[in-house]
Amino acid sequence: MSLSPALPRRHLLVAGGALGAGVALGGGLAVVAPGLRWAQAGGESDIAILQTAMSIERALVDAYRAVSGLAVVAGPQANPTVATIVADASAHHDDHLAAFTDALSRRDGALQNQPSGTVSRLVTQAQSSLTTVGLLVGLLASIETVAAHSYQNAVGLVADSDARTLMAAVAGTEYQHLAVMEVLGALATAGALASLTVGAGARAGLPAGTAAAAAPQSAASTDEARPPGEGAVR
Amino acid sequence: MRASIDRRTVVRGIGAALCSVAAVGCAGPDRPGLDGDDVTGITRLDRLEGDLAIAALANSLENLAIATYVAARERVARGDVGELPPAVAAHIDLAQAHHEDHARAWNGLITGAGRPGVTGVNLTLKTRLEPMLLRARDYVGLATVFSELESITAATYLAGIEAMTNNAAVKIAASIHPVELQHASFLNLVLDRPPLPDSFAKADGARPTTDTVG
Repeated sequence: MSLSPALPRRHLLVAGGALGAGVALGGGLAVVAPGLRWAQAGGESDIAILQTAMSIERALVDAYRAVSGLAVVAGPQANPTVATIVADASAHHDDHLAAFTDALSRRDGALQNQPSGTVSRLVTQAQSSLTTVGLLVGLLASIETVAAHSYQNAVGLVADSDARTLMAAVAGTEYQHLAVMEVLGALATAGALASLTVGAGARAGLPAGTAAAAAPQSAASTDEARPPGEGAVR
Repeated sequence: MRASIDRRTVVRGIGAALCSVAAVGCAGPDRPGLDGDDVTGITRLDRLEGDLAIAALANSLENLAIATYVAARERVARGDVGELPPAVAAHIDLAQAHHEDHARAWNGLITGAGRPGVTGVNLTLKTRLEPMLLRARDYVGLATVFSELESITAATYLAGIEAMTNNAAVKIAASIHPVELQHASFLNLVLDRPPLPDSFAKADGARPTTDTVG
């Protein structure tokens, strides 16, 4: 049974079965791939990890609501594509919070209603200075990074496959948010936000650097993952 | 524009490290085909078991992605497709490099388990995408093919993350899945499609292990 109604269960692939006696399991990976840090859970339960995710997501929901009314997003001079992207991301985070809430409720886990202090502090520090698209997406990229890295880290830590799928599905979207924010940042830096015209058909005018801004690495990182039990309700 | 060397080195390192941790001679990607099959012929992924079949499926998709981007570049060079915008040309180089890293990671896992690496492409998906690629006359046509490829590959990764039980394999899939989605988002921007269409990544359209490789 999927923990999240938003994720239809698919069993297209052959499940189960070890890779073979010769392949060591996860613990060795962290030792031999130091550039790709998988934070160890220290025995955190799936519930604790979901509670941490809920606190991060709550902070993201608050952040997007805080910036949605800014002139750079909603003012008469705002770029409509930027406004749409911010609105879409905001709606996604509402859905993510609902999914983590649902996942905890199904497991009889306590809900974590406190927003992540780390994410909240990033927003508080920057909020009064968000007067340009560059500054706005810089903040949003920072908080999306915390979320993306934390959820991807959780994929390798949670025991239950439904929780693993939920974390991967949410992490994937956060990485897409990050990609788009980085592209917006690159365009803002280049003075090329006008290339994001809406409804004009395919965009031939995007600068070359936007490709790498969207996907700078061949493997997603977990460097800025929050400790998996940080948001646990103790 | 090339990806950061640090992350590429890490992805390669994952595959190589799994070989060394396994203490099994790693054949590397030069040994084509799958165990027990005619290495020059078409083979079925589901002749492998469990997580290995999924890893081989992922590998076949990465190989198809590499081949697709190479073929696109060749069509441009021949003049079959109009001039590429800078961002699309950069994406082709970048995405190909990423997929090469991904293929190496999966080959490292598979050879670390004592099986021959997968050098073939996913023929089942190629059958669908190749006509689209050959019909493309401009960057929009090419980007549409790339978008389809990246989205299907990402969906397959998510399905694999759910199905696999080996934690090392899950972590490889989890580290690659977001990158395919980032490629897809960028292509959505190029194509003036919503860059953030879904609240959750989806497994819709995931390829199965009954696909053929060759």
